[in-house]
Amino acid sequence: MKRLLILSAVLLLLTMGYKDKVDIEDISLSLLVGIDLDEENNLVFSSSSPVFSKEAKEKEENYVTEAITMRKSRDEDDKTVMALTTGGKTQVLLIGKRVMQHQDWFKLLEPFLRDPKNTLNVRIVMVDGLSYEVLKYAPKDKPRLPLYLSKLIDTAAKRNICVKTTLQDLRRATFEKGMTASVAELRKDGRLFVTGSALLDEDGRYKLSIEEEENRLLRILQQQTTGEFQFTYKAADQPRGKIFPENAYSFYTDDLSVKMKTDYADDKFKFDIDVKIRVVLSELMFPLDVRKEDKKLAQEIEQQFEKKFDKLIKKVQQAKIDPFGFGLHARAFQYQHWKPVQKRWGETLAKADVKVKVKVDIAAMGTTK
Amino acid sequence: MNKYAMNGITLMQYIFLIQGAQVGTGILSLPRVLAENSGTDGWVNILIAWGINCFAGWVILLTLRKYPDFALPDLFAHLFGKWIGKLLLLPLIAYYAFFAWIIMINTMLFIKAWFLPKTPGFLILLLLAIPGYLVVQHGLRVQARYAEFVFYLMMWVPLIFLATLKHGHWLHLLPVLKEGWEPILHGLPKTVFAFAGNEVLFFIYPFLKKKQYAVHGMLIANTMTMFLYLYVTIICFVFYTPDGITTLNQPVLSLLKTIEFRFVERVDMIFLAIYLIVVSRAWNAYIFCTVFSTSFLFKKQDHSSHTFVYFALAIVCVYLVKPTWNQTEHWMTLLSNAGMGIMYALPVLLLVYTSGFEKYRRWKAG
Amino acid sequence: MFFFSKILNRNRYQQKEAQTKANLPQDQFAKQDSLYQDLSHNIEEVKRLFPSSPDLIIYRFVAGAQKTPVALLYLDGLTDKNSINNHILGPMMQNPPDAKQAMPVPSISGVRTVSTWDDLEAAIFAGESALLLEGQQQAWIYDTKGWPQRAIEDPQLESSLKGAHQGFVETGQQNIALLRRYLPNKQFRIKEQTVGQRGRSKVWILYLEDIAHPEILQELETRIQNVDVDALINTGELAQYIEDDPHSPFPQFIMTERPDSAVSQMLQGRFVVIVDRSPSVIIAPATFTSFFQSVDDYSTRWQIASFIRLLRFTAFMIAMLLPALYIAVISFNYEIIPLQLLLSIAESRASVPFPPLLEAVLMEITLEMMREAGIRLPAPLGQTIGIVGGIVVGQAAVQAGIVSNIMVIIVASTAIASFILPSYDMGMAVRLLRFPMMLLASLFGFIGMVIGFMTLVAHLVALESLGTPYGSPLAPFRWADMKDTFVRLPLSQMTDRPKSARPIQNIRMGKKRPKGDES
Repeated sequence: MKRLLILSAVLLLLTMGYKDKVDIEDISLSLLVGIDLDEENNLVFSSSSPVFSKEAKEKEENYVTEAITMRKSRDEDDKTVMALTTGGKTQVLLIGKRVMQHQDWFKLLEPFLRDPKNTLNVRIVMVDGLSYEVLKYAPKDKPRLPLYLSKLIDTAAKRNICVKTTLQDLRRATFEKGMTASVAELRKDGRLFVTGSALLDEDGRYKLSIEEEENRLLRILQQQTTGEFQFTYKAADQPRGKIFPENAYSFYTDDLSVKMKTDYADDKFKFDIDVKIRVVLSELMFPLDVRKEDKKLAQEIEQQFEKKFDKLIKKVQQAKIDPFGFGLHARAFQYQHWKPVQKRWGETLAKADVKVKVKVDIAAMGTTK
Repeated sequence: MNKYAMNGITLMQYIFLIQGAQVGTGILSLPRVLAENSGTDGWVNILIAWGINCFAGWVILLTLRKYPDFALPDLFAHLFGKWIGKLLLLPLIAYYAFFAWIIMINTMLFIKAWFLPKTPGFLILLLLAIPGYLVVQHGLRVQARYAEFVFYLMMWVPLIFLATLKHGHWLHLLPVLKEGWEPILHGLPKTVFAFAGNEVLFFIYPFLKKKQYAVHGMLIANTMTMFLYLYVTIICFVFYTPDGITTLNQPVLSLLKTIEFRFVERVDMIFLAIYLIVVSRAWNAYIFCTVFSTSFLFKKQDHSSHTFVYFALAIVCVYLVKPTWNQTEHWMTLLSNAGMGIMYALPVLLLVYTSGFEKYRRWKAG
Repeated sequence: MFFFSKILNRNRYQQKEAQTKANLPQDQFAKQDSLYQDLSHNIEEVKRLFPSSPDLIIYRFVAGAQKTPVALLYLDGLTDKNSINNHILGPMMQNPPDAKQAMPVPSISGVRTVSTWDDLEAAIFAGESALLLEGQQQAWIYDTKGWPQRAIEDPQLESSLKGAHQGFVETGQQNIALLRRYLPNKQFRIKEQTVGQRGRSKVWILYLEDIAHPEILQELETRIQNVDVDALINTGELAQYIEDDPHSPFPQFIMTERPDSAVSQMLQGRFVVIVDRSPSVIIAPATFTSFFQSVDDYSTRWQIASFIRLLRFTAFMIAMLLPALYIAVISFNYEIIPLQLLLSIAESRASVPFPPLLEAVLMEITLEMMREAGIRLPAPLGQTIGIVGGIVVGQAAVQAGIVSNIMVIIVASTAIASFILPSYDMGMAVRLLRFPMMLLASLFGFIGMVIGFMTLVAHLVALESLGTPYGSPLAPFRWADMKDTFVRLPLSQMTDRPKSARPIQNIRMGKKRPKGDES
């Protein structure tokens, strides 16, 4: 009896296994997914997947479909693709600017969040234009577009030209009341450019774009001080030069520390931010004895920084968003005052006092005196 | 003369058996449950629940200490007589059997969701039954070795979680006790049940070689579980925003999903597959309690045939019932209510009864 | 069961033979158990006892002052001609006239007398010579054993770089001598048993009395006594008769041809079982991790030895799991590999017409065939097989699109990994286990692999070797034994014997250590 049962169990396993088997070459990996809105506000989904067959001339196959949801669009794709489409390895999710301008576009990403087989590490990128235009880009001097695009964003984020926001980060920012989301921004202008970051409001709507310099300041205020921070400034007290910029200088940061103090007074939140930067000079176009006049140069950099910080914060406050995550500090340290305003944090932050104080140390000047 | 001395287990094995019985699939959703009830202060709950459970375990041991050679079935027979003892054992058997089944079902559902959506559930249970049968069939000593080995084998797994810390915001935890104690106490009943597993003490205590360390072992096991829960919960709370964690069913798995190494991605899948080995200790422990009791009922020395029958029945039940997520959750609630009785009420009642019983006997004898 | 009690009996040959004779009615001439007085009568009887035995030499001559007719009986080939000629025949035939005693004495050791036909027969079969005298009802037996022997050489299967280059040979006594040389110690004990109704193999259990656990000895003795077979040709056979779980793929005893590793195990409290006529010995009880140790580990520096140990455990996992992992990844859980690797795997898989399991099994079987072919062929030809198989077949298979590049890499690295294990038996077990793992992976992907692994762990945890846990020191976990398991710490750290063999004496280093020679 026991033997018989064991035997039948083995038979059962052998015959009924295999059910979930999908061989790798039969899978169509949607490595890039694009979402757009056309002029009549119809959703357009596009996807790009690699082709493995050696006989195929093109390395990628691209599909553009109109559908009501992303999952439905996969259905449409499967009608023509010679494999089973999956989203388990999606690298970049390209979202058209028009889509992002509408509230609750985040819901479109639902299949990525619900299906455990799908990845959460897909990079979210806003495209200034149409995302399927980007998908069709097939440069000859670059590897496959998905690999190229994901590498592009990763390295740009390492240089802090844009933020790298994965779906997981976006979800966190969407649910978090004390912070609004920011995503990388991409433009196709013959070639592909990462232009900076796009800042979204609490409902996920696109609000404003910032370029690399402001993006670096944003990262500093977010206290995300990994990666490289390089700045090129023009000294205010130096002659401009005729053709060549004689007042410019560049530096990168050696060490960055950000400390934040949260206060509440006069019905306003107060954020005092102390930024300490150790810089290494990498370029200096005007004559300056760094050995003697380092204090002066440091002061100059401090002023420049503070000005730019103020400008960015003003800009953000006007847009009534909080990409810095000041709300997290407000909740952590001023919970009593935070609680009533948490639902309209953007407006509250717009009225708050934010002061950034920068302290610069020149750590090194390089090999030239 | 202890009839269980043949299968004696060491103190370490005793600890790992208890700890193994406690850690199941509950941990995967525990941070969410805590956050739902008590917000980011939910982790305080774990500490309180730990205290309560240590106390309950101590009460269990207080009773068992009087009868060092008796497992629960022997104890019942001794206290209530042969027939009433057996009758009283029946609901307990049902509880243990059902508990083991639920853990397996839960695991099966996870496997179905993450790995094998089209494979029928009973087939997955059949897979789980193979190693389970091999372990439980041999008696407690082998099972204890298994629990011990698995613990050491899996010790590195919690380290994976550290990889998520660089994306975390410690600010999420502040301020501590932001809403006071009320929400914390509100979530307590569910947290307390996360420590279920102390009830295997009733069965493994007589096998322990060094009985004088029984309480220490129980405390160590509970503390280890507590640290594990605390560790995972805090990492989840640090990673997820307090507003968003409640939208996830299994925050722990979603958390691991975000980890990517250069050589391997989707750590959640690897973790879940490996975690299967950890959870297997839990159902093995409960199945042992079940078949130990049924063998006692049928006066069988060897419980290997009952183990076989148990697994066969479990598979057939899954084939017939085809459980869903919601059903399992519902059953889990029912079970946790029953568990309250067995983990907290039963030990106290037994303690009171035995002291009365002993007094009566002494009075009768002298 | 009847037989076992017989074997226990001290006069086992006689009784057994008596019974055999009772079973064989054609042996009707054996009317009398003991020898006759009359020499010719005796010789007639011998001729009848050894029918169709042209190698039985019966040499009749007269010896001594009385010119007593005598006969020397021995089996040609089993005896040492030199000692017969020089030490038996020499003194007896030269026979100096002034001899005082009636009978000249051969100058040879190991003399005894027998008086029954059974003993005589056994002695002659064992290679001894028997001298029959006219008028004597007994025979003198001289130890003249000497048969064709192999020289002692480096064992081929377990060659070592730094260890001794002496391996066991086919003569049991020699093997005992090899071990004795390492351990001139009073506590060195040998128990002799005989196994096999026809073959009558001598089996010796060697151990150190004050270290080895008596319960295990008891168990081992009982198991060997319970073996009831015709003949034992090899040690491997005995191991299978006495092991705990005959259905397990894992070897439950260490089999070695190296005296040095046998001795080091004896010093840890294990038992060595030598089977006469077989060059390998059993070391029992064994643990899973002991198959990952080799003698060389102790003669190299500890960092290097530890590295090699870890390498072996890694190799074990690779050899068992890598093909399965590949199958699981490419047909179920492609998500877990990074994109670039995924793309290159998929590209190389795209032109392969077979499902992954078939692809893997095809390559694995080819590999196993090459391995087996290599064993049977003489060394120069074996290399050719390697080249033909490895380079030509592999390359061509990839180019023909039958298997993918990555599969070839995986199979090759699996093969290398499986040969790293110092124990041939464990290596074979791993190679075999790979196939069920691959099957499970192809049925259920990652989950199948994990289930396979759990089953393996469950089996190893339950397995015992002579009643001691096979999984030790991992399960039951023994922290103290960890210094000689995955790593090998400096020898100065190893003050205690490992606990897995249950030694009754723990300390093996330092002043307090019992040296085993106190009386």
